[in-house]
Amino acid sequence: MLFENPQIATTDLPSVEDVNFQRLPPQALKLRTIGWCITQGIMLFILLGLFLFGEIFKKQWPWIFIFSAWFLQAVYFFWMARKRFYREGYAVREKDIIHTKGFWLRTQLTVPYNRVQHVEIEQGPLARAFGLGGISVYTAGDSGGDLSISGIEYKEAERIKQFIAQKVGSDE
Amino acid sequence: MSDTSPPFYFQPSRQSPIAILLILARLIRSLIGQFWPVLLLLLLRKRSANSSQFWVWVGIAITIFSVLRSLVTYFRTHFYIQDDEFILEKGGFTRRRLSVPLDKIQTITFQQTFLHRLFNVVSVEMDTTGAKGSEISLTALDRDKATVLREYLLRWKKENVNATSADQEAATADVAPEVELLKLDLGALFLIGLSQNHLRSAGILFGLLASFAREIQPILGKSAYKYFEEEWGLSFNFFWTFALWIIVFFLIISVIATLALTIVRFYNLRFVQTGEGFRLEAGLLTRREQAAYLPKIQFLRWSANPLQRLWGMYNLRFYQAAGHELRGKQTLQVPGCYPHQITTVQTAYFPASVQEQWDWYRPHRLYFRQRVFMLGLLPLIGLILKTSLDFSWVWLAITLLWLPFTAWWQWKLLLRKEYGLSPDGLWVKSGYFTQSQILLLWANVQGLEVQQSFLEKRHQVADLTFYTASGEVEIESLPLPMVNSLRDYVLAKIEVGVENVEELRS
Repeated sequence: MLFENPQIATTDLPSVEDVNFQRLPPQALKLRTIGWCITQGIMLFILLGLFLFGEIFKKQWPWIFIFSAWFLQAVYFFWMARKRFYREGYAVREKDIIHTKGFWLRTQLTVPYNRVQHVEIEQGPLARAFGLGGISVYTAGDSGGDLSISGIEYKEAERIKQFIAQKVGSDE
Repeated sequence: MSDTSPPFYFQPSRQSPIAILLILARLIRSLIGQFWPVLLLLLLRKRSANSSQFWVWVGIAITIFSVLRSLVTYFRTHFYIQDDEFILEKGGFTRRRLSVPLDKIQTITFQQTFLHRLFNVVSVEMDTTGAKGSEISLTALDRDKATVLREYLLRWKKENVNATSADQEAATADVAPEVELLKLDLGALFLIGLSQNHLRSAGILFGLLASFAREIQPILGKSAYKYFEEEWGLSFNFFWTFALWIIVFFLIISVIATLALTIVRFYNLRFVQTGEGFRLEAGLLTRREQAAYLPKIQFLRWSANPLQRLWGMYNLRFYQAAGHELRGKQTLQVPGCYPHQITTVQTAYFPASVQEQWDWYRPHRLYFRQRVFMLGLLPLIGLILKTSLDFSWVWLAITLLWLPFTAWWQWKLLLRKEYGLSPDGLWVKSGYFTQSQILLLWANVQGLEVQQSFLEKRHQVADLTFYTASGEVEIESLPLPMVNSLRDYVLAKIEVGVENVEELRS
């Protein structure tokens, strides 16, 4: 195939298959773990509130099942968050950007720059503390084709945005 | 507004005064839509002189408020074109100013409800690409003015878009004569109405009535069935015991209702091929004029259920690029198309599709197994539980037949599923009862996603989703190496396509 699409700052690789995906920085895992703690904490808080003041069951024993269910799902999602984290990656190439993620269902979304409508950078208060941010790449019309990576270094997000903006600009 | 030389659209203009009436009508309709349970309550309960006087005052207050609101909306809505931007100022209490660059306007749709037609005005909707909520709509504009405005916008687009970017639009031919492809008479409409999916509409109707009965329960203070039984002496037990009669009853209602709806919606349908694409005009009470511009058509889909296949009729849909709000409205539907009309549309959208070499592929059997598991085995567990806890012969029969039926159906689906690949696009054939086909040009792909579930990984197959500006097309359970190379190919096609254009310009 007479087509080249080199990955940025690495060797010339024409196929998505051979792309070396950039992993997310380790702080992103910390950030996600904190997020996980917050959601699980809220759940536990609500459950405890119901347990102490709710009077849902006449006896105490059903609560054992409920709390163990909470514990099991917490462990599962903690484990999944780590698994998913190590499977997530992105690659910025000359003509497109790729985002790969998922553990049970692996997905790999590719958006060519000449289909990009606009690019956005986000940074929540927690992410700011870690110097992290997210980038969203929007295409026309449907939301399905939008690509968003969260938990990359904020400076990196800015660099990617600049790069895509320049690419999109040069196409027009 | 004066009638001097510059056209009305270069200075802030108001809509036709009829808009006041139409805004009022819309307001009242939405009020009734929201508060109908209250209105029903007022009509059904026993009246006392005092309270009815109170409600009269409430009614007057609401009316005054609605009239004021319509007036404010009318007088504060202005539109004009300035610096190649269409500007719409609106809002009663909070001012909103929408400005849309003219080259971002995708489609211009005129619509006439019964009221519009009485006063010879149209409502105008302009759909734009990209950003949410940037769609422009005018409630009422004199038909002549609207036509002049549309002509100006189309002319502007033609002159400017072609000159600045050598987009696909450059390929648009010069003004070609309009060709009428299809005109539906009452007989054809009757056939279309008959061939709709009545089981589904009967289900929807049944569901609606059931939810209606539930919703008025708090108002009547007792269940709707009880109310009918006690107040009107009707016994609904009769119906429940003869469930079959209900189904027949709803089927008949559904046939009549769909016939009526089909006629109202598609009355006097004209499907025309124009220089820029296609145009559809249809409707009895509300006459809609929808246009599909060739470069904006993302993909085509046509389908036919067994009855429609018998009559050789297809239901054709254009999926057009559209903003978020108008998404549903931008899929243009032409019922009752015959194969040669499909071919005409197909050739216009994808000229090479007729002669091109197509390589056909089928999904892996995993597609069948996964679906039998999800639709056959999982519900079966529920059915077995239901039958063993609460035995009845009907449920036993359903339980026994469920798995064989799902397996048979999914197997037929697997056999019907075919993916055609060509240098320029994708052709998907699918469906057993309702068979449908999709045609997609690679050039319209906005993004691609490869998906691989846990099971698919073990069998080395994957799914590939093509995102377009108007929905997605998915191909499932194909060998991973093939999916990968197809993705690389389509990416190259999209990315190099523009590169060629660059070369041409420099």
